[in-house]
Amino acid sequence: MRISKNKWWVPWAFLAIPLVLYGIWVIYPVIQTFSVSFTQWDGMSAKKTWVGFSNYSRLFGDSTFWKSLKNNFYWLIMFIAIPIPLGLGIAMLFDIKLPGGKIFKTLFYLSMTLSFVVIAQIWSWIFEPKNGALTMTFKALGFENLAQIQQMLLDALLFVAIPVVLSLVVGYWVNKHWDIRKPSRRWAVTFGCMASLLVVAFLVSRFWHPQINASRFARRGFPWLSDPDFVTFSLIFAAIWRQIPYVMVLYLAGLKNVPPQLVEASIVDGANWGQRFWHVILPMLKPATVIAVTISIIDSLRAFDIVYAMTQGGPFNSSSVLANFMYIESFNNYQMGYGSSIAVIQFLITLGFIVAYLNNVIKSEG
Amino acid sequence: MKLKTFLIVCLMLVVAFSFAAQKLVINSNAGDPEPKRVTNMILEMFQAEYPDIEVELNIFSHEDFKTLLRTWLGANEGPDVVSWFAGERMRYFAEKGLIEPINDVFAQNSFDSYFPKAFQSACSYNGDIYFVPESWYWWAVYYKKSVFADLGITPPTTWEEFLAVCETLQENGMDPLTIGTKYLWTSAAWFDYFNMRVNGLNWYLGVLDGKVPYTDPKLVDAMEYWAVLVENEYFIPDHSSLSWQEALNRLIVDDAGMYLMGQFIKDSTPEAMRDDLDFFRFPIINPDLKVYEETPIDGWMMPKNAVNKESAKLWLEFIASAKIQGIISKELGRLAANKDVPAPDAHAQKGLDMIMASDGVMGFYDRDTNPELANKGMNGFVQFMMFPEMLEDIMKEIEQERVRIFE
Amino acid sequence: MTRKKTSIIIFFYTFSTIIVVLWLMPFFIATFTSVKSMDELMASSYWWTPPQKVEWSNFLEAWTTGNMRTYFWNTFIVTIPSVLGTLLLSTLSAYALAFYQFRFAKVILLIFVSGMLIPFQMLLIPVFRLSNNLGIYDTRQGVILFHLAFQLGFCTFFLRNFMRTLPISLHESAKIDGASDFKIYWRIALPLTLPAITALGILEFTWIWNDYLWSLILLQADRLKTISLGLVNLQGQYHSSWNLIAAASLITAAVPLVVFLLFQKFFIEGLTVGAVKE
Repeated sequence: MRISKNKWWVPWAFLAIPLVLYGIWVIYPVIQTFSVSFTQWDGMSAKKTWVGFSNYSRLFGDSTFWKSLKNNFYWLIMFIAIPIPLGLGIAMLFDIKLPGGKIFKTLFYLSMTLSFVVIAQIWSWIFEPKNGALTMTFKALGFENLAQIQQMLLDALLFVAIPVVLSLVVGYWVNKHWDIRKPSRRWAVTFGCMASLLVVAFLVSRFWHPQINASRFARRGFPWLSDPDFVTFSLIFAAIWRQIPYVMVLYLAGLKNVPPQLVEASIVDGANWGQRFWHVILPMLKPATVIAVTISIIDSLRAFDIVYAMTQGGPFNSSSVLANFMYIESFNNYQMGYGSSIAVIQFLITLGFIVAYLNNVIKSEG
Repeated sequence: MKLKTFLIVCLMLVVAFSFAAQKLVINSNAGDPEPKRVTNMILEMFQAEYPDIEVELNIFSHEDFKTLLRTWLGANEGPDVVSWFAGERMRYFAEKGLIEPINDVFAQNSFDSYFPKAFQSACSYNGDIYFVPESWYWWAVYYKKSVFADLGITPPTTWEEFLAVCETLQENGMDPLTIGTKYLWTSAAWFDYFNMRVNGLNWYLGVLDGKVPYTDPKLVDAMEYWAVLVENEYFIPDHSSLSWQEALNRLIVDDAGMYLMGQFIKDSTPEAMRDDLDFFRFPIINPDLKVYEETPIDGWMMPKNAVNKESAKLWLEFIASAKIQGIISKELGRLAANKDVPAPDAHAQKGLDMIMASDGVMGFYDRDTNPELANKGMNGFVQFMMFPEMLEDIMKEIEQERVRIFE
Repeated sequence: MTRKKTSIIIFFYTFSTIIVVLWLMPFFIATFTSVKSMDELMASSYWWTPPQKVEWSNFLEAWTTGNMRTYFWNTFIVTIPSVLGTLLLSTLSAYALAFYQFRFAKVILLIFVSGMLIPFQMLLIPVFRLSNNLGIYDTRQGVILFHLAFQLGFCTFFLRNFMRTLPISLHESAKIDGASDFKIYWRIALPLTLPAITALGILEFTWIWNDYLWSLILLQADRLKTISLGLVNLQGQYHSSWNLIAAASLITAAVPLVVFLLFQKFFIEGLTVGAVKE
């Protein structure tokens, strides 16, 4: 229950200045973008030609648009799947009250404070195909080309990650179904499931072992940024490096609501770890999680600077994302109307995700 | 509180403008360290000559400058002079009436009393002069003299010799050609040269103007020559992950043997290696054709919405003079546009001689083509350099864009 | 501090060190780059390796050629009022959205969120024209005003979510004691949200400090430009001074880092919310 029996104007008094400022500087330009998307305009001359929906119909026939959309979905999935659990884990680790914690947090935060120009430059060098840090590391580990790494990742997913996740689910179900209470037994069941599933996976791999269909570039060396199929993942990797500290800060603020003993106990004390984490800690972190998820959705769908500075969307638009596509059309090709239509579509997609997510959240707030 | 500040600011601006002395706002893209130093130097000399003018020089990084230029040109009040490129890139704005003709800068002495007649068309639109050229440079195939000497290679002049050099370099474990196509423009130089050498400039101008289909058999002919280099793996692999400057490294450490690049390559070469670096003319393919070269021109123009047009014209006249162009050319090692300025050093003299011995010059693909088409085209070239077997599809796709833009 | 199990201590230091060292790899490369000469960089293929010869003078050169003294000062002048202003205003709107039930509350929240959704590069030209028409183009006030407004979306959303976790009973009991709405906001809601506000302030400081796009579009005069513009200016049309860019970027990063170091105690070990949590 929130306050409602008030003089009606009180909330509006609080909102007045922020809303006016936001309206003038943000909402009004956003609306202008919508109207420009129905015109043909070079962005500078006075002449704007009304063209109706033709920018949109052209957009849906543009292969770069579909490529960008696909890449944006990769960004979205990876941005939800990786930075949020890792950011939370690292925040919980760093939140243990021991001397030096402050230093660890500060050093970890560093990646967020560096300018994107230098981040992009350094990551391009890490990904340099011939002598870059990553290439040298994998060469030292005995890999000869990117295709082998892709194969290894595929194997790890099929024959390790999937069985492990599956065994956790099965273990959970068995424990619940047979009503096993004793922690040591519960663990035994889970590990039993895991071991047997891994053996099954190993046996399966003898008979069914899909080979990755890597492009010929992947077979030639380590084209992290020039293999059309792999480049997006390299970019996402660099972006996640910068995103995790951000999520960590959000969770550090959230952990303020959680008694520190609880966190420490749940990290170290094996018993009931999952229970306590899911049913006690996570609900307390809800405001931080809502923000982190919302921001990850938004940031992944409007990803720009890393892509622009590291590949410009190349090679031949293979790593293009909507924001980058929009920028090149509007500012390099002087197609402001077409660029705006891209922005509008991107806006609507993001809005769909956000409304779906926040609606659930707000409903559960009661 | 904010409103008050805002009103005060407005008031201050009004006051400032009404009492302003003669001003001059110069926006420049000379972000590179050397050009930046030289621009500041020239500015001081201008101040000394015109002490009454209050000059404001604003320097932007090149990429930003491209974006910002049109916001300025579309604003109520723009800067007084801006640096830019001659050719289609300038004409694009002239056509929209966003820059001002500057015929009267050359009222007393005609344009060709300052600059070679050949520059006039690149600097004008519809018979009016819009652009003051400052400096220009040439493109050529760069190599290291020491490497060629070790392998007993002499600089090739014909296509067959060029292929033989590539072969020799490859046999010696080097990639014959380096290139970085992360920024697309480097690929366009190859497109320009194959067309000029196989089809000639006059025909190629039709391509640049968007009049010739990209599926034209003559254009495909030119691409077939390029395909030979790609299919033999003469270019470094993974070129699309490198910028041009990163690709230069392959030449410097002897991973690669040759580099088709502009004269500015010298700026990024380590001091100790500069003298080892030399160039030769892009090989002749069809000996019956006249020989053309690529020489982009940089310079200045005046926005239509400039506030201080009189001061702007003084700056343009100043920049056009042989004295100032001589200083710029000497400091930067580029060629001055002013015809009375001699080449600043032996390297530049060699470049100048190469151009003088040719039959004509052009700017550069992405400076002389409609910007939108140029972007699509160059993306296609990079794709072709990775998948030469897709040539037909790629050209069809570019052609679709051309039709959409021009027809 | 309570006594901790040895296992926690070992766990904490081992994992923290591993994570931080891994995470700092790119930073180490940036540091190496910042002390190499351009000739050394161009003459070696291993751009990520430690320098053979350390050139501390790069920092000095970045400082002078990047015109960083002026830019540093400008960035402070822009960042501090922007951060404070946006925090202040967004606590107002977040408070209204978190504590009052009124028509359009959800719509207004959605408006604040939706301003964040568009790729903001698209707003460059409308914002430029707006500031030009309002006569605040090429002034610091213009940039501050814009940052202040632009960040309201995220800040309001962020603070609203944290304010929601405060118990409503607090508000009501204060109301019964006769406190005005504003007083409750100022005396109760604000202090209790301080950890979240500080965390937000640090993030905002980092963003506005590193802001590039808006200063680019709203400022023209070199004497007003901010530090990230100076940094990008080191990237030329043809030639990029990688070493100077790295050095300048390390200098630039130092400030938000210090801010993080100084202010983190407010949201990590500062005020106890425990007292209210019952």
